[in-house]
Amino acid sequence: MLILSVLSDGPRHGYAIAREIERRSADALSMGEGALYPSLRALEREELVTAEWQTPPSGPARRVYSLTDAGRAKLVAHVSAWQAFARAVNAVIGTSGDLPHAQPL
Amino acid sequence: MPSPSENPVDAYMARLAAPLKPLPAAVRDEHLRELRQHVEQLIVARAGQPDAVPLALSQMGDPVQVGQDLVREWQKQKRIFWQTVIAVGTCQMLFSQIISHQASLMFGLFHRVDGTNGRGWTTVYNGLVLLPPVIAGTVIGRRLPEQAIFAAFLAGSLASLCGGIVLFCQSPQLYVFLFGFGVSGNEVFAAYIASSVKRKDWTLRLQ
Repeated sequence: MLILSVLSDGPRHGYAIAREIERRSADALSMGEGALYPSLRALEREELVTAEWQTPPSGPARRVYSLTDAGRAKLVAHVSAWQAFARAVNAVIGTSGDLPHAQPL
Repeated sequence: MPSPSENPVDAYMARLAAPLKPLPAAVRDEHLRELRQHVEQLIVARAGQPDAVPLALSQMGDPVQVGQDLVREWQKQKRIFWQTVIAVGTCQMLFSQIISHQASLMFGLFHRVDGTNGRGWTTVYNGLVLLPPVIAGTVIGRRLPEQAIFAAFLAGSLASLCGGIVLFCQSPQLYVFLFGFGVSGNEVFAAYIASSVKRKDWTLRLQ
């Protein structure tokens, strides 16, 4: 869902996807960045993203990933499910932001 | 050129490449190229820091795990192996040849060596009618996605089979029409084989 969300703003190569996830999460979501590529291949296999080598005006060719229509639909479904889940959890724990008081032993 | 033991990036890439050996060379090279670019960008982003390289490699994660995950992902793709398609294709082409030989004997559809088939311009037309699908198949086959190539190949096989049936129904015009489809399917497939050789990717992937 994170990768699809980042790609919904436009095509990006792997390194840029990793940086954007890092930026949006304020460094809270970090991972072994090599793991990004098997995930991207899985998304390609499911036809949620496409990839092609593109040569920028300067620098070497890069493999750039784009969201497909199926990927966009999947993202909408994922976000909707996630928001429903988050609402349910918030309803249980409360959304005031107050931590429960520790009970004395 | 530094050996992998001297250059940490090369050593990392060598460890990553080891589990990728089951992959076709073109796929493996593409993975390695892309991942090396990522590593290099991480190092550039930390330029000036004395520990830029080890930090970048640490940020990439375990190379063996990454390599194994990439292979696992590749293996999940639905593929029809080259050898199988070659075997089926050879049988289909042989079948087409036998059928076309029978057709030429029965209908005089193609020029005989001595030119004495007794059907004049009709036979020339029947020969020429095969050219457009051959040319179209060869040209289009280089641009189609693999699914379409495989579909064309199946359609060509089916058309050849139908051609064999039609042959026994004594309908030369319909036979030529179907045979054209058969040849077209074969040509599309042949174009794919040619591009496979160029890409050094020996599998037909139906993703």
